[in-house]
Amino acid sequence: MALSTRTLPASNTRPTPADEPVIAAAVLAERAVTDLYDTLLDNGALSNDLRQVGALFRDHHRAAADVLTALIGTAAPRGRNDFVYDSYAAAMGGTNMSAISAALRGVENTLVATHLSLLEKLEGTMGANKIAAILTVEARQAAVLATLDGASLDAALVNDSVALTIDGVNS
Amino acid sequence: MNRMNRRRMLGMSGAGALAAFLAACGKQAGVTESANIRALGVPAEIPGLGTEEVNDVVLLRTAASLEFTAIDAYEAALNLGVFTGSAAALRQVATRMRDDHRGHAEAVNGLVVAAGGKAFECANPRFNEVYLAPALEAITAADNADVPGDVLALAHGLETVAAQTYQSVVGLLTTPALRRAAMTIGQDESRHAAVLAQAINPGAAGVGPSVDADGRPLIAAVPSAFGELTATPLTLGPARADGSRFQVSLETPSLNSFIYPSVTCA
Repeated sequence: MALSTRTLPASNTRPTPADEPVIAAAVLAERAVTDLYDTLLDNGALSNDLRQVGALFRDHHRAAADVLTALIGTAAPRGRNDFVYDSYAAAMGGTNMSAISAALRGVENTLVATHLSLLEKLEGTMGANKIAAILTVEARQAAVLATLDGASLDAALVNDSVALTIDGVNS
Repeated sequence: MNRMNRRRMLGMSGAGALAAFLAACGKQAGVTESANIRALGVPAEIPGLGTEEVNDVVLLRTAASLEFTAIDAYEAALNLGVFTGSAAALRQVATRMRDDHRGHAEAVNGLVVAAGGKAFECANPRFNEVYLAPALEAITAADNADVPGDVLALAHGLETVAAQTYQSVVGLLTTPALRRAAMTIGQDESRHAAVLAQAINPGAAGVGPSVDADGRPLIAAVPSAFGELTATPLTLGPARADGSRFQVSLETPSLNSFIYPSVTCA
Protein backbone atom coordinates (compact mmCIF):
# COMPACT_ATOMS: atom_id res chain seq x y z
CA MET A 1 0.00 0.00 0.00
CA ALA A 2 1.34 3.41 -0.89
CA LEU A 3 1.96 5.55 2.12
CA SER A 4 0.78 9.07 2.25
CA THR A 5 1.24 12.47 3.70
CA ARG A 6 0.11 12.17 7.26
CA THR A 7 -0.49 14.68 9.93
CA LEU A 8 0.26 14.04 13.57
CA PRO A 9 -1.35 15.96 16.37
CA ALA A 10 0.82 18.29 18.40
CA SER A 11 2.33 16.34 21.26
CA ASN A 12 3.85 18.91 23.58
CA THR A 13 1.82 21.49 25.40
CA ARG A 14 3.01 23.13 28.62
CA PRO A 15 1.16 22.61 31.90
CA THR A 16 -1.74 24.98 32.26
CA PRO A 17 -2.39 26.88 35.51
CA ALA A 18 -5.03 24.25 36.28
CA ASP A 19 -2.37 21.54 35.86
CA GLU A 20 -0.07 22.98 38.52
CA PRO A 21 -1.90 21.66 41.61
CA VAL A 22 -2.32 18.30 39.89
CA ILE A 23 1.41 17.98 39.24
CA ALA A 24 2.16 19.37 42.70
CA ALA A 25 0.08 16.55 44.21
CA ALA A 26 2.16 14.03 42.28
CA VAL A 27 5.38 15.67 43.52
CA LEU A 28 4.26 15.41 47.16
CA ALA A 29 3.30 11.76 46.76
CA GLU A 30 6.63 10.93 45.10
CA ARG A 31 8.55 12.65 47.89
CA ALA A 32 6.61 10.72 50.53
CA VAL A 33 7.53 7.44 48.85
CA THR A 34 11.16 8.53 48.51
CA ASP A 35 11.19 9.12 52.27
CA LEU A 36 9.54 5.74 52.91
CA TYR A 37 12.31 3.97 51.02
CA ASP A 38 14.88 6.02 52.96
CA THR A 39 13.25 4.89 56.21
CA LEU A 40 13.39 1.31 55.01
CA LEU A 41 17.03 1.58 53.98
CA ASP A 42 17.91 3.07 57.38
CA ASN A 43 16.15 0.16 59.08
CA GLY A 44 18.99 -2.22 58.30
CA ALA A 45 16.68 -5.21 57.91
CA LEU A 46 17.34 -5.71 54.21
CA SER A 47 19.88 -8.06 52.70
CA ASN A 48 22.50 -6.45 50.46
CA ASP A 49 20.64 -7.52 47.30
CA LEU A 50 17.36 -6.07 48.49
CA ARG A 51 19.07 -2.90 49.68
CA GLN A 52 20.21 -2.33 46.13
CA VAL A 53 16.68 -2.81 44.84
CA GLY A 54 15.30 -0.50 47.52
CA ALA A 55 17.90 2.16 46.72
CA LEU A 56 17.14 1.86 42.99
CA PHE A 57 13.41 2.31 43.52
CA ARG A 58 14.02 5.17 45.98
CA ASP A 59 16.15 6.90 43.35
CA HIS A 60 13.42 6.43 40.74
CA HIS A 61 10.86 8.12 42.98
CA ARG A 62 13.27 10.94 43.71
CA ALA A 63 13.89 11.39 39.99
CA ALA A 64 10.14 11.43 39.39
CA ALA A 65 9.66 14.15 42.01
CA ASP A 66 12.53 16.16 40.53
CA VAL A 67 11.30 16.03 36.96
CA LEU A 68 7.76 16.99 37.94
CA THR A 69 9.11 19.80 40.12
CA ALA A 70 11.06 21.13 37.16
CA LEU A 71 7.92 21.06 35.06
CA ILE A 72 6.02 23.51 37.26
CA GLY A 73 8.97 25.51 38.58
CA THR A 74 8.03 28.00 41.25
CA ALA A 75 4.59 26.44 41.62
CA ALA A 76 6.22 23.27 42.96
CA PRO A 77 5.48 22.58 46.64
CA ARG A 78 7.91 21.87 49.44
CA GLY A 79 7.67 18.83 51.69
CA ARG A 80 5.84 15.57 51.14
CA ASN A 81 2.40 14.00 51.38
CA ASP A 82 2.37 13.15 55.09
CA PHE A 83 -0.70 10.98 54.79
CA VAL A 84 1.14 8.61 52.46
CA TYR A 85 4.27 8.62 54.60
CA ASP A 86 2.45 8.10 57.87
CA SER A 87 0.31 5.31 56.44
CA TYR A 88 3.32 3.14 55.62
CA ALA A 89 6.15 4.35 57.85
CA ALA A 90 5.54 1.77 60.59
CA ALA A 91 5.76 -1.10 58.08
CA MET A 92 9.12 0.22 56.85
CA GLY A 93 10.54 -0.12 60.35
CA GLY A 94 9.66 -3.81 60.67
CA THR A 95 11.74 -6.92 60.07
CA ASN A 96 9.20 -9.18 58.36
CA MET A 97 10.29 -9.17 54.72
CA SER A 98 6.94 -10.30 53.37
CA ALA A 99 5.14 -7.58 55.32
CA ILE A 100 7.62 -4.99 54.08
CA SER A 101 7.27 -6.23 50.52
CA ALA A 102 3.46 -6.18 50.70
CA ALA A 103 3.55 -2.64 52.09
CA LEU A 104 5.91 -1.46 49.36
CA ARG A 105 3.73 -3.11 46.74
CA GLY A 106 0.78 -1.25 48.22
CA VAL A 107 2.74 2.01 48.04
CA GLU A 108 3.73 1.48 44.40
CA ASN A 109 0.24 0.39 43.40
CA THR A 110 -1.30 3.37 45.18
CA LEU A 111 1.00 5.69 43.25
CA VAL A 112 0.09 4.00 39.96
CA ALA A 113 -3.62 4.39 40.71
CA THR A 114 -3.09 7.99 41.81
CA HIS A 115 -1.11 8.93 38.72
CA LEU A 116 -3.79 7.38 36.51
CA SER A 117 -6.40 9.54 38.21
CA LEU A 118 -4.18 12.62 37.85
CA LEU A 119 -3.65 11.85 34.18
CA GLU A 120 -7.33 12.39 33.64
CA LYS A 121 -7.07 15.88 35.17
CA LEU A 122 -4.10 17.15 33.20
CA GLU A 123 -4.69 19.43 30.26
CA GLY A 124 -1.13 19.94 29.02
CA THR A 125 0.51 16.98 27.35
CA MET A 126 3.98 17.61 28.77
CA GLY A 127 2.69 16.83 32.24
CA ALA A 128 0.68 13.89 30.95
CA ASN A 129 3.71 12.45 29.16
CA LYS A 130 5.84 12.72 32.30
CA ILE A 131 3.20 11.14 34.52
CA ALA A 132 2.79 8.30 32.01
CA ALA A 133 6.55 7.71 31.91
CA ILE A 134 6.62 7.60 35.72
CA LEU A 135 3.63 5.37 36.34
CA THR A 136 4.78 2.77 33.82
CA VAL A 137 7.97 2.32 35.88
CA GLU A 138 6.07 2.19 39.17
CA ALA A 139 3.85 -0.55 37.74
CA ARG A 140 7.02 -2.52 36.94
CA GLN A 141 8.31 -1.92 40.46
CA ALA A 142 5.07 -3.21 41.99
CA ALA A 143 5.26 -6.34 39.83
CA VAL A 144 8.90 -6.92 40.75
CA LEU A 145 8.20 -6.60 44.47
CA ALA A 146 5.57 -9.34 44.12
CA THR A 147 7.91 -11.54 42.08
CA LEU A 148 10.82 -11.16 44.49
CA ASP A 149 8.53 -12.05 47.36
CA GLY A 150 7.32 -15.20 45.59
CA ALA A 151 3.76 -13.87 45.58
CA SER A 152 1.13 -15.03 43.09
CA LEU A 153 0.94 -13.90 39.47
CA ASP A 154 -2.20 -11.96 40.39
CA ALA A 155 -0.26 -10.05 43.03
CA ALA A 156 2.21 -8.97 40.36
CA LEU A 157 -0.30 -8.17 37.63
CA VAL A 158 -3.37 -6.80 39.38
CA ASN A 159 -3.56 -3.41 41.01
CA ASP A 160 -6.32 -3.38 43.58
CA SER A 161 -5.11 -0.22 45.31
CA VAL A 162 -7.18 2.92 45.07
CA ALA A 163 -5.99 6.37 44.13
CA LEU A 164 -5.20 8.90 46.83
CA THR A 165 -7.94 11.46 47.20
CA ILE A 166 -6.40 14.89 46.97
CA ASP A 167 -8.55 17.88 47.87
CA GLY A 168 -9.24 20.13 44.97
CA VAL A 169 -7.47 17.84 42.53
CA ASN A 170 -9.27 14.54 42.10
CA SER A 171 -11.81 14.64 44.94
CA MET B 1 38.00 38.31 -43.67
CA ASN B 2 36.65 34.97 -42.63
CA ARG B 3 36.40 35.19 -38.83
CA MET B 4 35.05 31.63 -38.43
CA ASN B 5 38.02 29.70 -37.22
CA ARG B 6 38.08 25.93 -36.77
CA ARG B 7 37.57 25.96 -33.00
CA ARG B 8 34.48 28.19 -33.24
CA MET B 9 32.99 26.05 -35.97
CA LEU B 10 33.40 22.89 -33.90
CA GLY B 11 31.79 24.62 -30.92
CA MET B 12 28.80 25.67 -32.98
CA SER B 13 28.30 22.24 -34.44
CA GLY B 14 28.34 20.78 -30.87
CA ALA B 15 25.64 23.17 -29.75
CA GLY B 16 23.58 22.30 -32.80
CA ALA B 17 23.87 18.59 -32.14
CA LEU B 18 22.79 19.10 -28.51
CA ALA B 19 19.77 21.14 -29.61
CA ALA B 20 18.80 18.46 -32.10
CA PHE B 21 19.16 15.74 -29.44
CA LEU B 22 17.02 17.62 -26.93
CA ALA B 23 14.38 18.24 -29.55
CA ALA B 24 14.22 14.51 -30.25
CA CYS B 25 13.66 13.84 -26.56
CA GLY B 26 10.73 16.19 -26.21
CA LYS B 27 7.10 15.79 -27.14
CA GLN B 28 6.44 15.72 -30.88
CA ALA B 29 3.32 16.97 -32.55
CA GLY B 30 1.06 14.21 -33.76
CA VAL B 31 2.78 11.47 -31.79
CA THR B 32 0.69 9.72 -29.14
CA GLU B 33 2.55 9.25 -25.86
CA SER B 34 2.91 5.65 -24.77
CA ALA B 35 2.33 4.76 -21.14
CA ASN B 36 4.79 1.91 -21.55
CA ILE B 37 7.62 3.37 -23.55
CA ARG B 38 8.90 6.48 -21.93
CA ALA B 39 10.79 9.16 -23.71
CA LEU B 40 14.15 10.10 -22.23
CA GLY B 41 13.72 12.71 -19.48
CA VAL B 42 10.07 11.98 -18.73
CA PRO B 43 9.84 10.14 -15.42
CA ALA B 44 7.37 7.36 -14.87
CA GLU B 45 4.22 8.52 -13.19
CA ILE B 46 4.24 7.96 -9.43
CA PRO B 47 0.90 7.11 -7.84
CA GLY B 48 -0.29 10.03 -5.78
CA LEU B 49 -0.21 9.78 -2.01
CA GLY B 50 -3.42 10.19 -0.13
CA THR B 51 -3.68 12.23 3.01
CA GLU B 52 -4.53 10.49 6.24
CA GLU B 53 -5.01 12.09 9.59
CA VAL B 54 -3.54 10.40 12.64
CA ASN B 55 -6.35 10.86 15.12
CA ASP B 56 -7.64 9.14 18.25
CA VAL B 57 -9.31 6.39 16.25
CA VAL B 58 -6.13 5.57 14.31
CA LEU B 59 -4.02 5.51 17.46
CA LEU B 60 -6.47 3.30 19.31
CA ARG B 61 -6.97 0.93 16.37
CA THR B 62 -3.20 0.62 16.19
CA ALA B 63 -3.08 -0.25 19.90
CA ALA B 64 -5.79 -2.85 19.32
CA SER B 65 -3.75 -4.35 16.47
CA LEU B 66 -0.76 -4.79 18.78
CA GLU B 67 -2.96 -6.59 21.28
CA PHE B 68 -3.83 -9.07 18.56
CA THR B 69 -0.17 -9.37 17.58
CA ALA B 70 0.57 -10.29 21.20
CA ILE B 71 -2.32 -12.76 21.26
CA ASP B 72 -0.97 -14.38 18.07
CA ALA B 73 2.52 -14.56 19.57
CA TYR B 74 1.33 -16.24 22.78
CA GLU B 75 -0.88 -18.63 20.79
CA ALA B 76 2.09 -19.58 18.66
CA ALA B 77 4.27 -20.01 21.75
CA LEU B 78 1.70 -22.17 23.52
CA ASN B 79 1.31 -24.33 20.41
CA LEU B 80 5.04 -25.00 20.27
CA GLY B 81 4.66 -27.35 23.22
CA VAL B 82 7.87 -26.16 24.83
CA PHE B 83 6.46 -25.26 28.23
CA THR B 84 7.18 -28.62 29.81
CA GLY B 85 9.49 -29.87 32.53
CA SER B 86 11.27 -26.98 34.22
CA ALA B 87 9.44 -24.53 31.93
CA ALA B 88 5.95 -25.85 32.80
CA ALA B 89 5.16 -22.88 35.07
CA LEU B 90 5.66 -20.58 32.12
CA ARG B 91 2.64 -22.11 30.40
CA GLN B 92 0.42 -20.58 33.09
CA VAL B 93 2.16 -17.22 32.66
CA ALA B 94 1.79 -17.28 28.87
CA THR B 95 -1.86 -18.31 29.08
CA ARG B 96 -2.61 -15.57 31.58
CA MET B 97 -0.89 -12.93 29.48
CA ARG B 98 -2.66 -14.04 26.30
CA ASP B 99 -5.98 -13.76 28.13
CA ASP B 100 -5.03 -10.33 29.46
CA HIS B 101 -4.35 -9.20 25.90
CA ARG B 102 -7.75 -10.46 24.82
CA GLY B 103 -9.28 -8.31 27.52
CA HIS B 104 -7.15 -5.34 26.47
CA ALA B 105 -8.15 -5.77 22.83
CA GLU B 106 -11.80 -5.73 23.75
CA ALA B 107 -11.33 -2.67 25.96
CA VAL B 108 -9.37 -0.73 23.34
CA ASN B 109 -11.84 -1.58 20.61
CA GLY B 110 -14.58 -0.33 22.92
CA LEU B 111 -12.74 3.00 22.98
CA VAL B 112 -12.37 2.90 19.19
CA VAL B 113 -16.09 2.45 18.68
CA ALA B 114 -16.91 5.11 21.29
CA ALA B 115 -14.63 7.50 19.39
CA GLY B 116 -16.59 6.85 16.20
CA GLY B 117 -14.26 4.30 14.60
CA LYS B 118 -14.52 0.72 13.52
CA ALA B 119 -13.06 -1.97 15.77
CA PHE B 120 -9.86 -3.60 14.49
CA GLU B 121 -9.79 -7.25 15.38
CA CYS B 122 -6.62 -8.71 13.96
CA ALA B 123 -2.88 -8.35 14.31
CA ASN B 124 -0.89 -5.41 13.00
CA PRO B 125 0.08 -6.51 9.47
CA ARG B 126 3.42 -4.74 9.43
CA PHE B 127 4.39 -5.94 12.90
CA ASN B 128 3.57 -9.49 11.98
CA GLU B 129 5.47 -9.25 8.72
CA VAL B 130 8.56 -7.42 9.99
CA TYR B 131 8.85 -8.70 13.55
CA LEU B 132 6.68 -11.63 14.51
CA ALA B 133 6.96 -13.93 11.49
CA PRO B 134 10.77 -13.72 11.19
CA ALA B 135 11.14 -14.04 14.97
CA LEU B 136 9.03 -17.18 15.07
CA GLU B 137 10.95 -18.56 12.11
CA ALA B 138 14.22 -18.06 13.99
CA ILE B 139 12.80 -19.55 17.19
CA THR B 140 11.45 -22.65 15.47
CA ALA B 141 14.63 -23.32 13.46
CA ALA B 142 15.45 -27.02 13.70
CA ASP B 143 18.79 -26.48 15.44
CA ASN B 144 17.62 -23.95 18.03
CA ALA B 145 18.74 -25.28 21.39
CA ASP B 146 16.86 -22.74 23.55
CA VAL B 147 13.31 -22.44 22.27
CA PRO B 148 11.75 -21.62 25.69
CA GLY B 149 14.38 -18.94 26.33
CA ASP B 150 13.78 -17.35 22.94
CA VAL B 151 10.01 -17.47 23.40
CA LEU B 152 10.43 -15.59 26.67
CA ALA B 153 12.70 -13.04 25.04
CA LEU B 154 10.19 -12.46 22.24
CA ALA B 155 7.30 -12.15 24.70
CA HIS B 156 9.29 -9.70 26.81
CA GLY B 157 10.10 -7.64 23.72
CA LEU B 158 6.49 -7.53 22.58
CA GLU B 159 5.23 -6.58 26.04
CA THR B 160 7.82 -3.83 26.26
CA VAL B 161 6.75 -2.43 22.90
CA ALA B 162 3.08 -2.70 23.84
CA ALA B 163 3.73 -0.72 27.04
CA GLN B 164 5.76 1.83 25.09
CA THR B 165 3.00 2.16 22.52
CA TYR B 166 0.43 3.18 25.11
CA GLN B 167 2.91 5.57 26.69
CA SER B 168 3.80 7.05 23.33
CA VAL B 169 0.20 7.89 22.43
CA VAL B 170 -0.51 9.76 25.66
CA GLY B 171 0.67 13.04 24.18
CA LEU B 172 -1.17 12.39 20.93
CA LEU B 173 -4.61 11.43 22.24
CA THR B 174 -6.86 14.45 22.42
CA THR B 175 -8.68 13.90 25.69
CA PRO B 176 -7.40 13.29 29.23
CA ALA B 177 -9.94 10.49 29.66
CA LEU B 178 -8.48 8.60 26.70
CA ARG B 179 -4.96 9.14 28.03
CA ARG B 180 -5.98 7.58 31.32
CA ALA B 181 -7.68 4.68 29.56
CA ALA B 182 -4.59 4.07 27.43
CA MET B 183 -2.22 4.07 30.39
CA THR B 184 -4.53 1.87 32.43
CA ILE B 185 -3.80 -0.80 29.84
CA GLY B 186 -0.21 0.36 29.32
CA GLN B 187 0.70 -0.20 32.97
CA ASP B 188 -0.66 -3.74 32.66
CA GLU B 189 1.76 -4.35 29.78
CA SER B 190 4.58 -2.94 31.93
CA ARG B 191 3.78 -5.47 34.62
CA HIS B 192 3.81 -8.24 32.03
CA ALA B 193 7.22 -7.08 30.83
CA ALA B 194 8.60 -6.97 34.38
CA VAL B 195 7.34 -10.46 35.23
CA LEU B 196 8.83 -11.86 32.02
CA ALA B 197 12.11 -10.03 32.67
CA GLN B 198 12.26 -11.72 36.06
CA ALA B 199 11.62 -15.09 34.43
CA ILE B 200 14.56 -14.45 32.10
CA ASN B 201 16.93 -12.83 34.58
CA PRO B 202 15.56 -13.67 38.04
CA GLY B 203 16.10 -12.28 41.49
CA ALA B 204 17.34 -8.97 42.84
CA ALA B 205 20.28 -9.02 40.43
CA GLY B 206 17.85 -8.92 37.48
CA VAL B 207 15.88 -5.90 38.64
CA GLY B 208 18.11 -3.01 37.58
CA PRO B 209 20.43 -2.69 34.59
CA SER B 210 23.28 -5.23 34.56
CA VAL B 211 25.68 -6.86 32.10
CA ASP B 212 26.91 -10.39 31.52
CA ALA B 213 30.52 -11.58 31.74
CA ASP B 214 31.17 -10.23 28.24
CA GLY B 215 29.77 -6.83 29.06
CA ARG B 216 26.54 -7.32 27.12
CA PRO B 217 23.44 -5.79 28.72
CA LEU B 218 21.04 -8.23 30.34
CA ILE B 219 17.28 -7.88 30.38
CA ALA B 220 16.20 -5.84 33.40
CA ALA B 221 12.78 -5.76 35.02
CA VAL B 222 13.10 -2.04 35.80
CA PRO B 223 15.68 -0.77 33.33
CA SER B 224 15.28 2.97 33.95
CA ALA B 225 13.73 5.65 36.13
CA PHE B 226 11.23 6.63 33.42
CA GLY B 227 9.43 4.63 30.76
CA GLU B 228 11.65 4.76 27.69
CA LEU B 229 10.48 4.84 24.10
CA THR B 230 13.69 3.49 22.57
CA ALA B 231 13.86 0.40 20.38
CA THR B 232 14.01 -2.99 22.08
CA PRO B 233 16.71 -5.20 20.58
CA LEU B 234 16.02 -8.91 20.24
CA THR B 235 18.49 -11.69 19.44
CA LEU B 236 16.90 -15.05 18.71
CA GLY B 237 17.45 -18.45 17.18
CA PRO B 238 20.49 -20.62 16.63
CA ALA B 239 23.89 -19.31 15.61
CA ARG B 240 24.33 -19.16 11.84
CA ALA B 241 27.41 -20.31 9.94
CA ASP B 242 29.13 -16.99 10.56
CA GLY B 243 28.34 -17.12 14.28
CA SER B 244 25.69 -14.41 14.15
CA ARG B 245 22.08 -14.84 15.27
CA PHE B 246 18.81 -13.36 14.03
CA GLN B 247 18.48 -9.81 15.32
CA VAL B 248 15.67 -7.33 15.20
CA SER B 249 14.87 -4.06 16.94
CA LEU B 250 11.27 -3.76 18.03
CA GLU B 251 9.92 -0.23 17.74
CA THR B 252 6.61 1.38 18.56
CA PRO B 253 4.23 1.76 15.61
CA SER B 254 4.69 4.76 13.40
CA LEU B 255 3.33 6.21 10.18
CA ASN B 256 3.91 3.01 8.21
CA SER B 257 2.30 0.71 10.75
CA PHE B 258 -0.62 2.78 12.04
CA ILE B 259 -4.01 1.24 11.45
CA TYR B 260 -5.75 3.90 9.34
CA PRO B 261 -9.46 3.58 8.51
CA SER B 262 -8.49 2.13 5.14
CA VAL B 263 -6.63 -0.80 6.76
CA THR B 264 -8.82 -3.85 7.18
CA CYS B 265 -8.29 -7.38 8.42
CA ALA B 266 -7.61 -9.77 5.53
